[in-house]
Amino acid sequence: MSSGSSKAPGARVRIRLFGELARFSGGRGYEFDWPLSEGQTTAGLLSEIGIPDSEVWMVAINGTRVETGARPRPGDEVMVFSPVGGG
Amino acid sequence: MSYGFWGKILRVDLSRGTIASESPPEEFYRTYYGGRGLIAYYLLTEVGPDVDAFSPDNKLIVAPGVLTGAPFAGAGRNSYGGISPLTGGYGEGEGGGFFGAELKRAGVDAIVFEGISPVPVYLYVRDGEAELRDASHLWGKTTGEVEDLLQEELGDKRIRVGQCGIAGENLVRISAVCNDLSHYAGRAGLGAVMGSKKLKAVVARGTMQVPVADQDELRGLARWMVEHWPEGHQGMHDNGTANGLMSLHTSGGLPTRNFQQGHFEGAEKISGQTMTSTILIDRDSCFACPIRCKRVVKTGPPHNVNPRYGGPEYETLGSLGSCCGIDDLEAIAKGNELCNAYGLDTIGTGVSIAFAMECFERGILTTEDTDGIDLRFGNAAAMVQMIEKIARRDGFGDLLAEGSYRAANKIGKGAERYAIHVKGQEVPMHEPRLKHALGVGYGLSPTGADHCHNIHDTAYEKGVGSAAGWGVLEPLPKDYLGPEKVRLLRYNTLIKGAFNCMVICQFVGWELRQLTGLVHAVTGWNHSHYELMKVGERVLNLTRILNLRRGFRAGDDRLTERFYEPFKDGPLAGVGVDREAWAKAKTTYYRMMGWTDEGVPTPEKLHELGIGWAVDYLPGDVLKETAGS
Repeated sequence: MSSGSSKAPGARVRIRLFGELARFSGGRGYEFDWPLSEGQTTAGLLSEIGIPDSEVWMVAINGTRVETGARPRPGDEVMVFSPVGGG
Repeated sequence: MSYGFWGKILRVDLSRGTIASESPPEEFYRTYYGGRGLIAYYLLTEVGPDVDAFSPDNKLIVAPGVLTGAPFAGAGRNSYGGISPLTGGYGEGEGGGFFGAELKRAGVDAIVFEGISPVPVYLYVRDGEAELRDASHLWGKTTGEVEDLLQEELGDKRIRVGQCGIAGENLVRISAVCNDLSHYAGRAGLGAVMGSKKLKAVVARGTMQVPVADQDELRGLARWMVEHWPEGHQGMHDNGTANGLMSLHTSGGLPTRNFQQGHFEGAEKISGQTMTSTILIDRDSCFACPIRCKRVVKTGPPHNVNPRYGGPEYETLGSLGSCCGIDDLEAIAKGNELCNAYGLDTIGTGVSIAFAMECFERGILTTEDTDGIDLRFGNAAAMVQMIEKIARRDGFGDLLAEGSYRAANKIGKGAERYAIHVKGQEVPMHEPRLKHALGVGYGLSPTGADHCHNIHDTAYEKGVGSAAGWGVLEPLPKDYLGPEKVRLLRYNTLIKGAFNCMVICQFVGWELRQLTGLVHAVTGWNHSHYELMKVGERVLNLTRILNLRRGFRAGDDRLTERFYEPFKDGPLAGVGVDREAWAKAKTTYYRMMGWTDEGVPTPEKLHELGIGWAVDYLPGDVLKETAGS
């Protein structure tokens, strides 16, 4: 999904994982920076990181819920949530 | 030989100071499984329909389940039951920690308390022996002080204590029963039932091993969870039950300012993640559980939060936090400590304070009513102050100690509109405008609004998870209320009813096939998941009949008006509960349960569940209605 995109030098987003998603972060934990290719979608970002789509319930950019085709901008905070049950 | 239970149920007459023991046959345990099943059976068959919650004729039943105390994750819980002082109907709450397992290991399957003691007492149960002891010196003490005094008096640091707290002594209707200082059976106001009986505490000390039919099978399952829990529960371990708070805020379902909003600008400040990185000093566990989702927090001045009372759960962060418009995590932690020290339900307390805050901001209450307290949303000091006043029924606290429903009726002036409850019990921290079938479950719950024996729609929007084991194969939108969703709601209420009969933890995440294995391993019963669902269905019917006998009818299965009002802003702006779809879903649920359109179990359904005897408990008018259905 991200193939063919060129990476703007130094462009990054902040990834924040919630629920039970940190296990897909490759040991990076709940929060980390991730390089942002030009025009990359949130779905593409999650694919790059290795988070299965089936595990993702909701994505937000800077606190606002977005569709998976949304395109974050450099410096944005991308929040990713697994499904929530009771509490 | 029987496995999973002792065949010993204590009956304690507090009025007379006597203790007797009963030995029901194995069929009794296999029919009701303990916990909720056993409580529903005793309350239905022994407590008349006109008995008040605080009457000597009400019973307080302390019930572990057939799996409690066996060495596996989630088996440390017990239920407390009685007629609820909040709803006037079936009341029950479950608590974790170690007390339930200790009681079972002390050789007791359940205790039925009846009457009222002339003086404060506690029951001491130790390895099959039980005695009532004077508790005059414990009356008026905080839960921590009581535990210290009991350990000293009995010369045993390993006792486990279930107790009612000062709030229960004062008949505060939103009071809880405390297990081990930091685990609570919060709902239904049962701390006040305990207090009304002058029963300060139940102390358990057990060195007996719960008889297990197949040790190898149980060890295998327990070991599997020890090895595999991080795959699905690392977040819960790291950040506690508040792991999902930011998710609910972002999706618009975090109750805020008395449910006027579903998102809170201060959410980040009170999230599980923030708690982990600021005031968390340790993680605590329940009996035999490796996940350790319980919080231990500590702060410096001004609150000096005492870590021995644990730390706030999600429900507490929501009810004392966002629902009151408060983003001061340390103040919420203080509120949690005080609720635990006094024996208050944090949900009932927070939602009652939030109710009063809305009344205050709307001018229905003024500082003349609130003892001078500026009870605005966001005033953390006022929230902490109100907890003290509620527990002690001091001044304005005396009114809120009645719970928001009764307080609203006493205040009048339109305050009823702002009491967010179902059947008199405050709504927990899950939004029916986000989770729509959960809202139907709130209306249908035998205990009033409850999130623990309910569906959480958001868990089924992306995938179906374990529901595939019930033949549910397609995900469903969170706001869908058609028959496919009602089917899922029904299955959830059945399995969670069964969880509350076995009294095991829902958070541990045992798969359906593993549940069957656990029951088989512990009891030796040739068991099936079908049987487990029937246990849940049985108890839903018994509690339904109990409430019908006490005057509840289909019209009482309803939501408070607020949830039909669309949110004005936030991620769910414009979204309200669809009144027509909600009503239709309720009727669909009745029909799927084999009930009439008035929500009455038919004699045929009761016979199908093997509880035909319960037909005799259907009130005459509703029995006639079933004949015509």
